[in-house]
Amino acid sequence: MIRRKTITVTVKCFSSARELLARDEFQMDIPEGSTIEVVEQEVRKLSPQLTKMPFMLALNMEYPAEGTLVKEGDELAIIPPVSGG
Amino acid sequence: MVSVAITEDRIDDWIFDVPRNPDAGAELVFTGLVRDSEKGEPIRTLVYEHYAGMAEKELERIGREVIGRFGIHSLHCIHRVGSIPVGEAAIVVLVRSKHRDAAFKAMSLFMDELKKTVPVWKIGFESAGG
Repeated sequence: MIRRKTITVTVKCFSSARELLARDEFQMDIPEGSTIEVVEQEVRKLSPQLTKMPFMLALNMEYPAEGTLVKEGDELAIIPPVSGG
Repeated sequence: MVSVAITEDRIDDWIFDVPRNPDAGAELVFTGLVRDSEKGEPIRTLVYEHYAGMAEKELERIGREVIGRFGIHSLHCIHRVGSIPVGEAAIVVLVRSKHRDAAFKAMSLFMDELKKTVPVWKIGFESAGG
């Protein structure tokens, strides 16, 4: 059996996401070669409320393009709908 | 030219210390204030949080975008976070351009885009009744 290597990323939580997950940030192991969409699916599995909650996932303080690969040590952030200004 | 900043300090009557371009015929300042109600409830203060680093990057990105789109000279923005009392400023934006039309359009688009992508959140409020 071939085991896929995993990488570790940090996920920051803000606003309603922090309330749901009851933490400011956490580490997550994901398969090497995962795209941002795959990571989003994994994040949504963390809480039943996150499954349907609208949020964007930031990667290293930017909104990533579709299909962007996530790398070891990357900083992700769950960005619920914003309300600045 | 774009400059952005995020602060927990009071920003009412904020003056941007940036020289005017002699070619500028329009200078527009927008101040966003904390209203006295939130979701229909009277409030005393509104609490904002932000994603430090990314919020600034996004403000700058949008600022550059509107400069490119409307050909304005400059955009400067300061956003307050933390606990902000009713009636005080949450954001001040300054736009300078050759003509007023571009300044109005740039300001409007900047604020619209800010409210879509800049990671700043209203996370709570202190009720006026409590």
